[in-house]
Parts: sequence; structure tokens; C-alpha cells
Amino acid sequence: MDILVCVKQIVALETPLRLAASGAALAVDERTEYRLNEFDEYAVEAALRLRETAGEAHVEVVSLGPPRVIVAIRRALGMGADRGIHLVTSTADDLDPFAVAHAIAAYARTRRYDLILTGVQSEDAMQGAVGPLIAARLGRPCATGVLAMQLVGGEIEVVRELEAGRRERLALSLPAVLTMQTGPDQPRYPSLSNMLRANRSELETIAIETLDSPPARQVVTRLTYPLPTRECLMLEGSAADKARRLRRMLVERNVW
Amino acid sequence: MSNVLVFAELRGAEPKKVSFEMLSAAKQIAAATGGQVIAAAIGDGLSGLGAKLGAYGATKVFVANGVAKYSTEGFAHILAGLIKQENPAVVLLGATAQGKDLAPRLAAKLGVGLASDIVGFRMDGNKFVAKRPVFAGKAFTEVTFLAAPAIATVRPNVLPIGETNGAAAAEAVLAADLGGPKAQIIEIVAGVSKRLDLTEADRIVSGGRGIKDKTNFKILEELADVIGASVGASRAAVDAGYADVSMQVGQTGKTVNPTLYVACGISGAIQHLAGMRTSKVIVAINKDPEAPIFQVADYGIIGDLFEAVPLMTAEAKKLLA
Repeated sequence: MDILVCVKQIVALETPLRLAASGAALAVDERTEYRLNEFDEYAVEAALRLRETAGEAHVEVVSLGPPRVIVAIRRALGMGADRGIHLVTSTADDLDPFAVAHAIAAYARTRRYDLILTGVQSEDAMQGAVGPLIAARLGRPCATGVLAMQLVGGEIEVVRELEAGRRERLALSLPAVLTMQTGPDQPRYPSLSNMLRANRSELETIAIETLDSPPARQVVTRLTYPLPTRECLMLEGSAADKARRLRRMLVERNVW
Repeated sequence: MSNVLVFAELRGAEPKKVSFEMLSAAKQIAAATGGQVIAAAIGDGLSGLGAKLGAYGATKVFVANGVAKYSTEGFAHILAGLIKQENPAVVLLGATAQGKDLAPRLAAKLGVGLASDIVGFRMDGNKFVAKRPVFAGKAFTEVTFLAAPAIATVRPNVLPIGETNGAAAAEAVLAADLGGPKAQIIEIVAGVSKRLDLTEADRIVSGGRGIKDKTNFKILEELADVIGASVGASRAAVDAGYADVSMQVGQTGKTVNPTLYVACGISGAIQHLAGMRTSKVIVAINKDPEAPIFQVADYGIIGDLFEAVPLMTAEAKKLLA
């Protein structure tokens, strides 16, 4: 069983962000902090757990981006992935989802992965597009927003969440592509010894120009940041006064 | 062609509210592109959709009947065929569990761009420019499309519904040819909640770590019952086992956009704010005056939720009396 997990390094969104002069991207410099996209950590965790139950599985991690994304790959290796692949871009800018998916699919085609996992979306771009686009490119079945999975015979059974707590149980033939939701299985924290080993391990490096690079389908033309914050009116008085005032204000705004 | 196609998502055989929201948006887009609003629906036992969708602006409705189960590949196959035939300039789907699953597959089949979860749009001449949240909801981007059609999924509960008195639309049969779906649905497990899904709810009362115990959600349920709200939870509350994951509001769970959002004992982690900050009116109740939730709230109560929430319930009951 060969599993490929696609991970993305993102700007640490908890840190203060700045708008670039172009008005269409974030400003980055040497102080900018990055981290692994949280949803992808869950995808790595899911792959590692599948390896633990399936026995003979091999987990590889791929990331596309400039040299800085090596840190994200090593983090996933530190969690326990077996091998890392870096698809190197020559620009620091994010590519559109099509370009990312085409490059990963072109790489994956050279191997025989039984399962390709991604996070359900990246925390920065929030598109949720790359996973299904890889699946379409490879002509494989895909399930998005997967909460749980298990191997049953030659298929993978997954549970995905629909609306209002309804869930759908699906069987997909392998090879398949799954995008993982955050589930109950918390991503493991890499131990120091695992991180030391991960930092020494050799990554496969492939320039994306040698893969498939289609023209962009869409372009971000403007970024609005920061968003206006709301003026929070703190209600004063006793607890009962506050509740009464709140009621009056909500009625006034026609929302109660 | 410069038509706008809306994929009308259904619950059973009835259009979801987001379908009407998309038709209203499509009317504005079509006015700028000089085209018509057309709609497509896929389901089983469908009837009267021409009138139901026509009221909101569709002039033609393509109906694929006899498809009882959703499948990504099957639905994408049907819609891609229709799009190749009708050649619309813009295609809208709901940013729902189904739409978010379907839209990328459709975009891939057509080799075009996709803007997910849009919360607005503008027309630059006859070009459609989508507005969507990024960076965990801390910023918005505008996305311009370089290939046609432009595909977008529309966040439910955001775009206003316009006129509802349009004439019945002509209905056309859409072949229910699913191609060869590769994923098979084994079963659909019903949810535990009788309430409306959070993404569609007009009012939400939500609890965080401050709720301290699963059974304490009862006091939020009581307020929700009186004001007709759904009940949500923060990730901290879900992780602590106080609430089911289906109730989770936040980027990892759900993005919600109600008219009223009442955050009880929620400090306001970045993921939670990403999930609810576009709500129209936000009330926050928290003991900690420094809690980040107050930065996105309209009204704040610094205090104990166990005292404040029952008092709000009592106030709400007065309005009913």
C-alpha cells in the first residue's frame, strides 16, 4: 500500500499579516513565520494510522513551493512519514489550484500510489480545490471532507459529513483521492529524535518546469486586509440589566 | 453565449434556499452579460421546478429526473454535458457539502477556473469578479477568471433574495446519464439533530469551552428554542467532548452566516472567527474581557454565561408573551 500525502506550507495566520504593495498578496520578508497547513496535518495523521493498521504501507509526503516548504515536508517526516518529495517552484507566489494539481498529478503518475490524501482545504487560500482536481486529472474517484476511513477488501470505505449531522458512507475503488477533515484523531507531535532524523533525511527534488505546468485559469486581482473590525458595545449594569439592554438592541436591529 | 447557469441544489425534491439566493445573484449577473438565467436540477420525483425556479428568475430549467443518489462523478458528468451544450458565461453552485464536492470536479472536467465559497461579486463590464474569504477569514480576495465559464460556489445565507414573482420557466429534460461513477454510496446516516443545519440557520446560539459540561448545552438549547435558533459549538467544546462534531462552527467544521450569532463562553480562536465572523449581528458572552471574540462582536456581555443566558431566555420569552 503506497500512500501519498500532499501538504502545503502556509503563512502562520496567527501572526500579524501585512498587505503587499501590489494589493493582491501578503507582504512577506525574512521574519514571516510559516507552518504546516493544519488540515494537512490531519491527512498525515490519517495516513500514519492507516499504515499502523494496514501493516505494510509506505507513506510519502509531497509539497509544492519555493525552498522554504522543505520545513513543512520535514515536519510531516518528523510525524512519521517515510519519504519526502519537493516539487520546486521558481516563484515565491502561490500558483493557482490547477497548476498545483497538474504538477502533483504529473508527479504521481510516475509512481503507483494506491491512495492520495490532502487536507480538505488550505487555511490560507480556503479553496478545497487541489484534491478533487488531482483526482480528475488522474481519472480516479475522490471523496471530499472525509472524517474516517478504513480498508475493506480492495476498496476504501470512507465517512464524509453532509449537512445537519447527516453522514454518508462511501466505498471507493483504489487508487483513490481523499481530502481529510479534522477528525477525532489529533495529529501527533513529532518527537525530538524523529525531527532530528527527518532533518537529516534526503528529499527527492523535482523542478515543476519538468512536470506539467498549464496556464493559469484564474488570478487574484485584489486582497482586502485587514477587514474592518466591529465596534463592540459592552453592555453595562447588573446581569439582568445587560440582558434587558441586549434584548432592546437586538429588537431594534430587527434580529430578535 | 452570455447566460448564467445556476445548479439548483435540492433537499428531497424541493430547492434549497441557497438555490434561490443564487438565482437572484444570477439575475444581476445576466443583466450585465446580456444573457438569461438558466437552471439545472438533478434528483428523483421532481416536478414543478419550472414554476419554483422561474419565480426567482430562471427562464429555462433543465431537469434530470430519476437520479436518487448523489455521486460526484455522475453529477459532474451531467452538468459538464449541459455546460458544453449551453455554453454559459458563469456557473453558480452552492458552497454546501454537495456543491463543494462537485464544483472542483466540474471545473476539472471543463478545464476552467473555480472560486470557492464566494460571499459577493461585482461585474467589471461584462466580466464576473468573485469576492471570497482567505487567510482563515481574516481577508477577502477578488478573483478574476481567465477561462470560460467562470465557476463559483456561493456561501449560503449571504446573498440576498430578490424578486420572487417571475413567470414559470420552460422545463427541458436533461438526460440522467451518470457516466461511470466510481464511488458508491453505501448508506446515509441520519443526524441526531432535528434542527436546521448550521450553514442554513438564520440564528445560532453557540457554546465554547466555557460551557464546562455536555449537559450544560441544555441552557443554550432553551434559548435556541425560544428564538428559533440552531445550536453550534466551538472546536474547543467539540474536542472536550461537550458537543458533537456536526455542531462545530469554524473553518474546520462549518462556515456559518446567520442574521444573529450568540457566542457563549467562546474565547474566539482564529478558526472559530473564520467560521462565523460574517454573521450579521454577533453577541459575545465571556468572562474574559480580553477574549478575541469581542473584536468581532457587535454586543458584548462580560460575565458568566450560566447567569446571562437564562436571563436572555427569559427576556426572549417576554417578547413571545
